[in-house]
Amino acid sequence: MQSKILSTLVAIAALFSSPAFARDLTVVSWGGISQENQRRIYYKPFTASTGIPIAEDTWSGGLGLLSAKVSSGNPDWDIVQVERAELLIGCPDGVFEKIDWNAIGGKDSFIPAAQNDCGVGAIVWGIGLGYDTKRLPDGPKSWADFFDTKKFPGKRGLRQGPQYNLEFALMADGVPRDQVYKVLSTPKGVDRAFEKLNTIKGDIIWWTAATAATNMLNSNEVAMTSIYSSRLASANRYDGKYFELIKDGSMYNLDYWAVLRGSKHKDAAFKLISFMTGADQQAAYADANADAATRLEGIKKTNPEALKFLLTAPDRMKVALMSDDEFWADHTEELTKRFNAWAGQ
Amino acid sequence: MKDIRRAARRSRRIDDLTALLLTLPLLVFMTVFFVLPIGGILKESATDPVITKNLPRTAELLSQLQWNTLPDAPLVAALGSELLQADQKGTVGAISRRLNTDVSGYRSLLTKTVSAIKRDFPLTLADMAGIDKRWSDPAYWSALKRASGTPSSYYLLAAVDLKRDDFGSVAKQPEHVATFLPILLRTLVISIVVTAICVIVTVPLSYFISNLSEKRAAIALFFVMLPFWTSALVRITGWTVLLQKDGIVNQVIQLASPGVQPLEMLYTDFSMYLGLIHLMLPFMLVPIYTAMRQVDPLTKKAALSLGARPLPAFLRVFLPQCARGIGSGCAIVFILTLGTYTTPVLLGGAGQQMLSYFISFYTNQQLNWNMAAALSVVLLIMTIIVCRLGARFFVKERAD
Repeated sequence: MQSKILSTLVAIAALFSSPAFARDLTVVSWGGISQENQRRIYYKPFTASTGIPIAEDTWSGGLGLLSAKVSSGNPDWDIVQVERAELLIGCPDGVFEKIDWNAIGGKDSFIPAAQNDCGVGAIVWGIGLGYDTKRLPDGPKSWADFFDTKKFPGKRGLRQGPQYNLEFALMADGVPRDQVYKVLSTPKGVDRAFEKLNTIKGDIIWWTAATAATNMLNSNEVAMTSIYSSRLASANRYDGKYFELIKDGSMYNLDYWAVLRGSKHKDAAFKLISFMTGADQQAAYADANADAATRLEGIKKTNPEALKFLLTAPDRMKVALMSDDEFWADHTEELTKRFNAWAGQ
Repeated sequence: MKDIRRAARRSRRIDDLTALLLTLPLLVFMTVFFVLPIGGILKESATDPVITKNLPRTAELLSQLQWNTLPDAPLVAALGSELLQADQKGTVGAISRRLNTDVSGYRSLLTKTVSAIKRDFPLTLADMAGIDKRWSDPAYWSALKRASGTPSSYYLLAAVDLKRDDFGSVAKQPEHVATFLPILLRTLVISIVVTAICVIVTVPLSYFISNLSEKRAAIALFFVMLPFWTSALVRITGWTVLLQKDGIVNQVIQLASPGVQPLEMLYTDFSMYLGLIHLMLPFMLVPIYTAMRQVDPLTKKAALSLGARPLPAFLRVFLPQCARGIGSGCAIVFILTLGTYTTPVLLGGAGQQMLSYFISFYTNQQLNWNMAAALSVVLLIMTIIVCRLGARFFVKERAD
């Protein structure tokens, strides 16, 4: 799995980009408003109380990049906010340090999904069916409505790729929430999901960047779209929109804090992760960013007013489906190929 | 006499050495950033390291296993004990991921098997078949054999939708996973169309600019090059604003003729081609414009005064003198389009993705650099073939 050449190149690049003197503890996340909130709620207070300076960077995903940094032997990033799929593939491949759960306050103080050998749950985020109530006062109620272009004419936005869409399609086709992955594990189930998607193929506009979903709702490019709950909440909260999200059949997943293997700031990194996943910090972040906390105490402390915007509030998670990334680790390649073949037909 | 000769030889040697020293930085640069990475990619594309690295003894014995047969006792025992070790080292995940890409369901088979092997005793085939009856199917052993050779043709074959079947001969991939050839074809078609449209647009434009006065030509060039100096992302966002359903273009259409259905332009072939052509035009314009500037204007005047009509004079006297510029413009645009990634991802729909999308997918999401390398090699070979053909075409043009 390792490419010596690539890692050499990264090492050379690191040599040119970073001066020889010591590098500060470096935290990498997704940029935008969420990183601004992290700076305000996590990084600045941490530096103020411990005196440990923090450097920041931004990335847009890609396990290959992390793997190349790690195999150079001296990664220039320490903590990275990663998605669950990256954790599941990267952990057995040795991209991340094993989590020292004692330094974080014990596994049991987190929701089960947040506990991983290589990552501590950072946030719970959601994706669901969003529409504009100003344009559709009597809007869709379920994924079945999303696939009903007679009842609700207009284009549909979906995140490009097979993940989430196959699940949505099956739920629209009447598969109960807890049966979705069981059905999807069979070749017949996959056929069924693609057939369902096929019924509205000509009406789908695929988005890749998260902002595109909000923009398309805004500009009436689509009548409804799958959309990240935090994006929808911030459009309502800060841009005065009246978007609605269908909670039933929405999906949720986690982001994790992970430490790159070979990090020179391992101890400080765990200290920072422990601080960031503290109940007060998580509650403040959930309020600001509309992504839910992962520490049980943090969930309790979250402002009830903020919970309104959280698709991932605990009671709503009961009607939502958690993305089964174990399933996706096994099937992403096969289903992505099939998805692209289908989309190109 | 002898001294002079010796001195001359010495000075020549110093010249050679100086020349070598002068080219040394470039040589080092080319080696580090060109030869080594491409060599590395070639090597990666023919490597399949997971099984050889994590189950070394098993892989060794597998090389002696006949295709489509069941294994002998030592092989089964080796697999059993090495799977147990892999479980302790936490590498079963990587092993099952590799095998699962070949035969769906292999992951669950391995998980089941590993949890059933309680201790390190010599396992027999009957034991394994007792754990899961799939082990008595030669297909699963053939898949293991396919994965255990290095150097390996597995990824290179997969990149062109081929695989070794259970009898060891090359066969087509099953239809639902055979996706790379159509995408390769799509990549080629997109690149050719973009190159062709760029030439058609650029030749009259650069002819026009090359006939302007120096000062006006500079202004015209400035406007042509302007998009070149803005970031690709900014340009793509610009197109999004222009082309979306409530965008400027549709608003103008609505003003001109109210009641017309707004056009669907974004995330289609149209928007992707528009974005690509916009991106590539400067790369075509610069070489063609330079070539046209260098053509002696008198040759065209001579053709006209000898009785040629303007269009034939342009096509048969003027244009052939720019063939080299057109050729290099085409080569640059074609090669750049082949490998382009951002524009189709952000302006195209799901049906317009090019090979680069899959290279990125395997590099970044799947962490399968061997597959990514194999796809890159296919792209590289295609680039070389097309450029050779193109070079022959343009060289012939010049000889006319």
